[in-house]
Amino acid sequence: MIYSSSPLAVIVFLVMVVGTVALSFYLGSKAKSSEGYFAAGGEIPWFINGIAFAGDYLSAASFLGICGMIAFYGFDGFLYSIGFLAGWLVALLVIAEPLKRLGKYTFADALASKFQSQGIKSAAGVSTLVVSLVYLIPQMVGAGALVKPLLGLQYWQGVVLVGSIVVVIVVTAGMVSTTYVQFLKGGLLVLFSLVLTILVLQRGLQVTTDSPRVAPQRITVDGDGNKLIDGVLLGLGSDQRNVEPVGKVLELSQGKQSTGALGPIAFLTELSGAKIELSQTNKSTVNGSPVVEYAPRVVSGLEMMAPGNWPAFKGIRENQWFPKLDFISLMLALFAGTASLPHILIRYYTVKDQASARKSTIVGIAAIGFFYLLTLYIGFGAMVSGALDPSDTNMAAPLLAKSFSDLLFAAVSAIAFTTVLGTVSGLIVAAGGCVAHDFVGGMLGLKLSDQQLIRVAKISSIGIGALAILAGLAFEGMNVSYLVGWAFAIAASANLPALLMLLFYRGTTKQGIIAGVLVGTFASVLWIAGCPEMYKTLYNLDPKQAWVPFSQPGIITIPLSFLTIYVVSMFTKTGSDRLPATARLES
Amino acid sequence: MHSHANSTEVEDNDVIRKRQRLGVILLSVFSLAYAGFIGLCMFAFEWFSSTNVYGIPLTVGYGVALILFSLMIALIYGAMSSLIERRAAARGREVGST
Repeated sequence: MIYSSSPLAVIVFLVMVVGTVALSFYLGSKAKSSEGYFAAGGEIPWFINGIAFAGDYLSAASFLGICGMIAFYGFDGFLYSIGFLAGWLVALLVIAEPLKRLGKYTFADALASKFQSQGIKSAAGVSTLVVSLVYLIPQMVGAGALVKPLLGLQYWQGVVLVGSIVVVIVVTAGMVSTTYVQFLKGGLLVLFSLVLTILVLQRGLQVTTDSPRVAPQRITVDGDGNKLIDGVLLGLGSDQRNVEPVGKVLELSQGKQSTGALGPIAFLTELSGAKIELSQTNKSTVNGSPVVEYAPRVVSGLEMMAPGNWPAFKGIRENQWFPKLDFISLMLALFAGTASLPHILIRYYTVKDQASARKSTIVGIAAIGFFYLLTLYIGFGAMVSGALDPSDTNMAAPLLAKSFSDLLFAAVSAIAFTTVLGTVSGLIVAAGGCVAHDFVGGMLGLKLSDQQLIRVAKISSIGIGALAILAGLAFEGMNVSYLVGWAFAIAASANLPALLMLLFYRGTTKQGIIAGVLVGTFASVLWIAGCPEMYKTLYNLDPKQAWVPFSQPGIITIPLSFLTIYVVSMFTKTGSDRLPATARLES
Repeated sequence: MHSHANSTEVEDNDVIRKRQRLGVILLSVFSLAYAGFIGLCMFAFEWFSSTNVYGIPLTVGYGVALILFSLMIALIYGAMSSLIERRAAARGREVGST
């Protein structure tokens, strides 16, 4: 779909972005020490930190990806909401307080603290960098998708814009400013999601007055490289044609034409009895040119409230084991991944003690849980808004806002954009801190001053930002939630087994932890690189040729990492390497 | 390397052990509910997606209930952990005063 930018949207967007950067400059100028830069001096109030958790966590995947997936495939998107939130209980109940007790700068510091091992720091540093980079990809994809309707820019321009702004923020700021930006962003995101939900319920459901579409919308490319829709030049001009939006109610139960305002339960009940027109994307090649068809797809509301509509989750309904394993694997990764994400883990060092770590996690769970309940209404609301772009599932929530007013669209898009900025900033701060502490200070053993450490982190941030931009360009068009699922799988395979074994298995040795982290990281990355989804989406090859039978690695690589730690620890058990009896509690 | 200002929090091992046990028990309870949800999606798909509760499909109802259950468990853990810490602090004061 081709979008035109509105001056209002541009103004609201600029106000939000300039405000974010100005706040970063102001607060960043106050953080002079490395402790201030990397951990906000441990002085962030727990409530602020809790909402900042929500800001860090509710990334492009949550707002754009989940809402988009619910809008096009119904309940499958909500499965992500459930999995993403469930992971927070692992963080609260077994990780938060022990990690805070170690009280350092990075996850690697925490893991290495009992053995004072540079090897552990280096291995955990590798996993932090890999997870941060993989998690950055969907954020950049989300940014590229957002600027198209907001500013009328191309996808690549959006990716470069976000990468550049974030590098400026991170280089001028640090954990204090990142925390307050996340606090504002998290709060605004939840607030505006509530506003959208109230508007969706107020509007209720109406049967469309348009006649149902019969023929698909067909996008082709002519000899000059111009895109055509049904043979007419694609565009906004008078002699051009744009892609028609989808998402219309064709029938309501009992022959109603409109429901009027509905309550939260009545909305779901009415929707389950409705017939809705959506679209199905079919890609093919004719005479060497790509052809994309958006074919009309009529579904019942009840069908959309069952799992298995999304192609990647179709296996739920089949009697084959590999698709089922793929689904279990994803849900396991979401459950185990949250408590292993570097940019979440470093937030435990920004509060003063364990009680604050616990309280801030509970506040985070409340804010995040509430937001995920709202995704159900935003997603289903978008499904029947008549405003869905069939070419981009990630744009459902902003386009739902546009169906109410341009001002709301501008505000929601700007918040979504700062959501991406905030999450990317958090990830780059975590990755930059990891390079400074774990590689330069840890693995290379260089003794650096506070200012030198900060400088190393900032220079690293520029490089990581550049890598994120390149990766964002390579993965254009993929659903951001799906991409985030991979980041969770890598984090859960690399970091969680090491943390849990350190806390609960007395026989753990430093060699065991190093081996577990490295095996978990590289096994999951290799699995993803050779999986059917990568063959289909990135390599444009037949998915049947993939090295591995399903796309989500967690169910194999998480147990593999546990097993590696156990076996290597068994073989390397000596008095000095073994975890001291009291260490499990103290750590 | 640089030392961290708030890295030296000292806590009674008994308090840590009790809190850890509480965390593991609550996580086990939630894991069962979560595994049950995944199991129903996978192995009882037809029944799960066609059963209604108060007019809402059970899939959606169970999903929403899981989110609310997460919050409930978080609040229970927060309250009980605070209770464990307060009791330990009171015991410490009693020992100190005798």
